[in-house]
Amino acid sequence: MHNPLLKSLFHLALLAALLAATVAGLRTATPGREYISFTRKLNDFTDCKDSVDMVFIGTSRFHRAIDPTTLEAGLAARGVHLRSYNFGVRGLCYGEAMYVLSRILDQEPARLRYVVFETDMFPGNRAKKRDTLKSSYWREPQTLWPQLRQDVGGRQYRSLRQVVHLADLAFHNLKASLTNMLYIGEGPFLLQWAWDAPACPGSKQGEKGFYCFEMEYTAQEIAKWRPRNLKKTLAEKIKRVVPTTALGAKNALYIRDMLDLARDRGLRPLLMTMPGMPRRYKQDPELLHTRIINMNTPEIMGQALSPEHYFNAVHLNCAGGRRFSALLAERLATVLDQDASP
Amino acid sequence: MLFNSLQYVFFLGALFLLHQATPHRWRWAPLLVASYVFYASWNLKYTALILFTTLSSYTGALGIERTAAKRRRQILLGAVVAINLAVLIVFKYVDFLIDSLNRFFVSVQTGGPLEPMDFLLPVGISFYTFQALGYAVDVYRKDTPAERHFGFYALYVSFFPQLVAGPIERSRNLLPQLRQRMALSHARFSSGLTLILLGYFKKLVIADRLAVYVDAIYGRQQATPLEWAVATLFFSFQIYCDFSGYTNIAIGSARLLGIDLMRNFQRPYLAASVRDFWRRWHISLSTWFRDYLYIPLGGNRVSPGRLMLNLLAVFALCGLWHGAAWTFVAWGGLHGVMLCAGNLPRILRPGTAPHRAWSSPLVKAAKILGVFVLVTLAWVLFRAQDMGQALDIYASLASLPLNPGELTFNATFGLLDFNHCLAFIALLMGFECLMETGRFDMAAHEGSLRKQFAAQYVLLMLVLLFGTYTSNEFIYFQF
Repeated sequence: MHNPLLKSLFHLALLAALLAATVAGLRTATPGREYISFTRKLNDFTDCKDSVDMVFIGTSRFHRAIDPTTLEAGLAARGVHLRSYNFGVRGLCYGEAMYVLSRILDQEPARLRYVVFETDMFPGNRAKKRDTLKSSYWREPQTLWPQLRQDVGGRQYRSLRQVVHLADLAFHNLKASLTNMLYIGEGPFLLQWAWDAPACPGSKQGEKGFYCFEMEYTAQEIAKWRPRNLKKTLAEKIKRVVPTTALGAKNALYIRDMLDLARDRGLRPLLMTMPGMPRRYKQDPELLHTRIINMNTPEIMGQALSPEHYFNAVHLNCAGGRRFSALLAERLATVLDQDASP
Repeated sequence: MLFNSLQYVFFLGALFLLHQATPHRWRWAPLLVASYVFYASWNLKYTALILFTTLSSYTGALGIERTAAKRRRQILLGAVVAINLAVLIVFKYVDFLIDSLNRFFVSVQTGGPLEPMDFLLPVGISFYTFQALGYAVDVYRKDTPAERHFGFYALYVSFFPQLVAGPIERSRNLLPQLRQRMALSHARFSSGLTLILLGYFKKLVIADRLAVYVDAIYGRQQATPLEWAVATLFFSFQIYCDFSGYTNIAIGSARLLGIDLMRNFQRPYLAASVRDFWRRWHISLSTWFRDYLYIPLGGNRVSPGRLMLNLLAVFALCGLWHGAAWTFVAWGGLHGVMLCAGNLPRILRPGTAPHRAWSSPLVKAAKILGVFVLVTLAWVLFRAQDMGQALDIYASLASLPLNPGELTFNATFGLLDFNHCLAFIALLMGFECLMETGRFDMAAHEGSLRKQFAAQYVLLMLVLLFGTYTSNEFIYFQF
């Protein structure tokens, strides 16, 4: 090969191939095929499994929003006494939720009666793999591109500004995908910071399964971290919250499978929609044959929760988690009362 | 468009392919367009400013060359210098002058306060203005012929890899290369890629990681002596890795496009004297001041008193070049004082060779350490928000001994991050020591391709595994 351009391009390709081989090798060789935060939570759950009545399975939105201490106190004040466990895992897909549930049930928890699923988990293509190797949804090109198409699909990109916006979106997603491809199954390197972080004051780290990493951030730091106006973003989301769209047949099936698995094991499944997640679910109890606790209402988004309760545009902060849990206790008590009534 | 953004990677990749697809004769054209697009991505309006600088220095230099009379040549050069410095002063220093005048008015209790102009500081204005001024002086001195091709000259001023933070190129080096065939070779491509990855390593793995701690400590009003010491030490490496990382990416990018930019850093923290430090740090700026200010002031061929005065003046101006604040002037002045002190034996006893004992490895190591400590202490002035904070930090650092228990961490910067920082600094310095011996040079064109490939792979892995992706701007963009 004498052409210097071809030689150079071959050089690049060789480097990329070596990198890809390293990634694949490391992913295969890294011990522990499970997502580190899932493993931690499962170990934690095992320690208290026989005292838990209700478990919440969902994404980081659950992880950050449900404070068992506040929830249990709120329920107790309404005459419902139970202990709960927050099994929110960052970036959880529907299929992975099924895996989480099966691993929980493998522990044979003595008192477990209720399981609450988040309606808006991620439609990952690893969904059918039960021995899932968790890597976050946005970091996988094969998941990213369909997601990106879904995000931008249907829009008409007519102006230059819109095209630039689209390119920006693609770049940011690709950047996240590229720069995080070496997380190595959420392995030993980069997630350590999260587990070194102290728990949210007032919540019990460990046995309650409620972790907060954001306590060190002030509002100014958050503003720096996310230069776009957070409040504006939230206000826009609040405006868009009411209409809902269908879940999609494939993901509806996943949810149905999860619900069936719970029922088969004698549990009472519930579904819960989180604030600000209007897209992927449909409030159709007949389809899903279960009750949905809808926390995605304009009252909760626009009134009960204010921008000060948010860590970012999607996740609640510590104060938001407590506020949300208090609101949830109110609604959950009603649902459980209705269940108990003949 | 930041070098440490994915947009830049795509931009450079696309330009590389376009550049290769363009006939040699026209390769300057896509480079010029890309350079203006690069700058316009930051601020479209301010591209007019670069164009103005380009036009004024281009026409001025042509006028100087066509004029035989010395007096008229001087007037033309003066006009070019005055016009370009005026632009620099208006956009960079006018608010500093107004603020200083207002302080003066308050102190003498006379005159009303003047309103600041609040201009947005054009990115890289100090760099491209100095580059254009250097060219005009070179033409005046007949060191270089005036460039007649406006496209080449516009590219010389605006060439994107070095547009916003240098190196401040010399017309003798860059202009002839724009005329030549910008040929690609595999070795050139490989060495350029290595430099780019080395730059990303320095910026994303070291500088941005250190910045978290430095910003947190320097952003406070109060810190313990140990925290100030660690933050200052970290800043010393942060600014080096940030700026030299930028330079590596710039030189590497230019090399992919067939152009060799001048070296801007040569392991400055291995300098054995402050004078040596300035031969290794921001070489393009220090040589600019040497060639266009220090030597015209008389250079070394003046009386000792005048020499020291010249050094102080040149370094105070060098400090002011960095930023419109008294802290920068003081930083430059301090370096001037250190240089004067270092030059004293040479000035007082000219022609005397140092004793042999002074060149033993142990003494050299002690000298390197001493210079590093002095330079690091001077960085306090560079990083402090104002003179008050700088003096507080010096006072705090003076209250030794340091107590290890005073070092505290939080969720954003934990012990693990601290250890990472120390490990990467050690890795970098170890690597620089290796390069100092001459056994390996990453900037070399003709290194072993296998070694280059191995270095690229290791750097890429380090960047991907340990990089911090916060899109921090490069520190020198503000100058």
